[in-house]
Amino acid sequence: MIWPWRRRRREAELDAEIQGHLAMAARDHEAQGESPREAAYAARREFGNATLVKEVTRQMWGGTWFEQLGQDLRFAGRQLRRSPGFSVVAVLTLSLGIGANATIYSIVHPVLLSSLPYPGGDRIVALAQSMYQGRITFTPTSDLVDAWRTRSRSFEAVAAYRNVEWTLTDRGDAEMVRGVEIGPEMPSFLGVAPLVGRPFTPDDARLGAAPVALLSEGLWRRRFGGRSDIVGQTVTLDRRQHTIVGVMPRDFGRWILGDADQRQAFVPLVRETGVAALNAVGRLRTGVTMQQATKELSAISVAEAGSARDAPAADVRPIRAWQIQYYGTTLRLLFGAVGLVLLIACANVANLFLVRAWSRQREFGIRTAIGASRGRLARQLLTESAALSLLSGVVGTVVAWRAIPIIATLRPPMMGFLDDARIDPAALAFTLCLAAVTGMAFGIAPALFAARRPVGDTLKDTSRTMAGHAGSRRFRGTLVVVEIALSTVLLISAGLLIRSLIARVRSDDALFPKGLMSVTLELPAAGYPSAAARADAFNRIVERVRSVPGVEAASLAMGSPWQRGVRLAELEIQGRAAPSDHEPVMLGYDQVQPEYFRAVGASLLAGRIFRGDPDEHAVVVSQAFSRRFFPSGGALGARVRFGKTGEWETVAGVVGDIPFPGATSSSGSETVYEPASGTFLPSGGTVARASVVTLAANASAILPFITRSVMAMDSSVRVRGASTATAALAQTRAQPRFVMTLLSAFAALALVLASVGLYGVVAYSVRQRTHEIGVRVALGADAENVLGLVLRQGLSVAFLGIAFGLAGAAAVTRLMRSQLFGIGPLDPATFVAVAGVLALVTLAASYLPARAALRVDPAEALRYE
Amino acid sequence: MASENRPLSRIELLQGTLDLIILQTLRWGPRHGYGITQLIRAGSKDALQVDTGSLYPALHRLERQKFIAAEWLISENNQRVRVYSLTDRGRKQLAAERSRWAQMSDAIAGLMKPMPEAES
Repeated sequence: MIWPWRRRRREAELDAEIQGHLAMAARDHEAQGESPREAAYAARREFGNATLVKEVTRQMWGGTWFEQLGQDLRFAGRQLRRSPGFSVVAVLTLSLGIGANATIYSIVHPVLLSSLPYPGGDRIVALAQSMYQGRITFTPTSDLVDAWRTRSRSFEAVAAYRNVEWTLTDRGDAEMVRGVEIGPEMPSFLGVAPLVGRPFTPDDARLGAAPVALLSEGLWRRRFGGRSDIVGQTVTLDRRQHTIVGVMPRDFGRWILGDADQRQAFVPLVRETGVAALNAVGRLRTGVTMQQATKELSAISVAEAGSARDAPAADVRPIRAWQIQYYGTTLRLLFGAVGLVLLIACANVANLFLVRAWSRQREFGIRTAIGASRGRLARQLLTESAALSLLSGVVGTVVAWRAIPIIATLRPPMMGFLDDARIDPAALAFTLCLAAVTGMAFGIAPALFAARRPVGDTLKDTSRTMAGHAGSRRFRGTLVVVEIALSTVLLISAGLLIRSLIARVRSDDALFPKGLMSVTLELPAAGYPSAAARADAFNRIVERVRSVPGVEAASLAMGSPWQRGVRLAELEIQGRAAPSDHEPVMLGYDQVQPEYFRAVGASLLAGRIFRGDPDEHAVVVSQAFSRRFFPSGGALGARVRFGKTGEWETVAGVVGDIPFPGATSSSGSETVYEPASGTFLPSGGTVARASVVTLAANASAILPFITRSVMAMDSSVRVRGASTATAALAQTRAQPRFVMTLLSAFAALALVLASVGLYGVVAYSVRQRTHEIGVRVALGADAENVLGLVLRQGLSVAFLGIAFGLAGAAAVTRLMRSQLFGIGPLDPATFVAVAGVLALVTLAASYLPARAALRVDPAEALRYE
Repeated sequence: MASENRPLSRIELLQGTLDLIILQTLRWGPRHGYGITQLIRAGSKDALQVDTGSLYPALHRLERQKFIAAEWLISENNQRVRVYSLTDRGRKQLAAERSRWAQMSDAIAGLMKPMPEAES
């Protein structure tokens, strides 16, 4: 091994040694009577290829590997600088492909993690209950969680929590803070210690204990200035002073307790107050399966309920399965789309490298002729494509780094996990390797081919007649066909989503009358112990709202019209066979006042609206209900009841359907309306909840006024949510809009890449055919002929790609049916429009290089080479 | 260094042979590269012509293996030349190589003897 600093001297010595050899040989030739010039020439001829001799001799010194790497890198840099067009296009293509993939992968990968970054994270499961063979699932009560915790043997630990909201009234303006009630076991369950202070103790969670709170790091810094003496101070949540016992780190509860803004503060979950709905997580003991745990918990549920008939089964499933159930399709769709973009980028890079390698055959030939080995050439090219990939990786990282926050700002409200997205190194490495391998595979093959051919052939070749070109051109044409086909699929998918969203906006606009709004109220059951007191309080509020100028109708309801409750019920119709226990029907269900139907714009189709008196035993049903259960008429006056213990009620009237926002058909809008009883208290609940649904001419203007006057009336009433129908429906479209935006961006990117690919193929072929075009022009071909010649080539590739793309899209758009609204997956308008757009774009991509063919000067072209 | 037990491939034989020839040539005293080519040519009655592309790598390899040593001298024509000479280690190597060469030469000579005509 020779150290680099000794190497230069050694090189000079080798040069001197060889010079000495040549001088002595020349002298001997001169001694035989040759002229000095002839002698020197003869000596050199005898010696052979001095450069090669030096090269192989140097290899004997050892340590050449590094030296050659340095050479290769310098050479690669020179090459890339020499053809800036190639370098820029290749780096841009690759970095966009890499960046897009790293972005989506960084967002999606943590969500799809099978194991959570907690102690025993792969054994953490969600504990819930299910009924009707799993057709509905729901959260357990706090009593049941306690029973499961104390009596099951399947779990190392069970922890419970509940997401809540408070009004924080300390230090500055009041604000709504979302936080979590956590069992005192939660910090140790997640293996997280407080940054400051202590976690909760079991004593903190006892009924009547002094109220305490843990702050999140974010709230601590934002609202309390990150002071280190925070422990012992107080925070006022819902007008109750809580003593702060500590601060939890930013990531505490990430993946389980909710998004960052949903876990700003924590209070102990008080065990003794029977809470109706609690989220529970458990860590399975090693070796215990989810089936075993389900069986054990179900048995405990039965023991608690006292009979098997009343006890819902336990439902144990991986926590991820719970969390991604609403956006699994979305994520898969994005994954698929960005994968296609990467494929297109790789095809483009393959194309670029092929063109470049073929056009450098002469160079490779010359280098072989002066003694470069195939291995050396291959290494050189590997270095070049590695340098290019590395550069693209850097740019791609920047792209992902800039793109992730942008995507986070576009995210729909329920996908808050996006806020936590960071660049995923694994994704970056993967895409980088893929790009490098593509570049190498397509860059090296032609070079090796060139090196294998007899040197003379390569050197004699002109670029015009270079062998292998027909095959290469066909192959590159195929690559572009694939690119265009893939972009067609993406464009059609994006087009379908755009059309769906437009259809949804239109349908949503027609869903409710203009000026509909809803205010959701909560009444603490403790302050209003009787149903009558609660009914009175709610009614006073509605009366107050009705008296506001501009309000046309106001009614109590269980929820806002766009988030209506459904009920899985055992519907029984008098005079027909009773349904079996296991055949419940899914029905829309609401308790409303008579004015409700005017407010939401559901017109009376038959009969009458009930008067609103609970003793009336009358219900109103929707048209869809009447059609489904009374297909031959006779709904009016029929008597129905829910469950064997329900009371018989008479159908008094039939009203028009209100479809669910985003529902594709009226199925699901079978609804039963009962008169508002005024209690609105779930069994075992501590808070009565109802909405005031209001129709007013200038809804958005008077909404804040209504909110304020309700709060002024009764300070114990809390306003949970207040929104106009227009705003709320726009919110429900946030997720489709998000998917559509991203997919459109990917489709646009794909289109650009494919156009660049097509442009490249046509432009290169024009350059290759300069001579031929020159001959044609010389023989009298006019501009039209020449243009036609070139365009035909580009367009035949393009149209083949579009045709394959349309067929491919027809095959795959079925998979996104659940994301579509109002149109089928084969929507003809989308297909035609996309085909049209692609035809235009590809025409442009072929026309630009074709114009270059027009400028060919026949005299010049014929002299060329 | 080729181990004794390994079958001799063609490349190894050629390479080993060139090394042997170089060492043998240097036995008569220090020489420069050009001198070695001339000597081999003359010694083999022009039958062997050593390619410089093999000679110089071989010289540098042998130097690295410390079988030969190199120093810069001024030739009679007042020119700086790199002169190689045999080291003690090289002398031992030469002896070993020579006996191996003799064995192999015997073996090949034995094989090349007229065949006993057993089959016909």
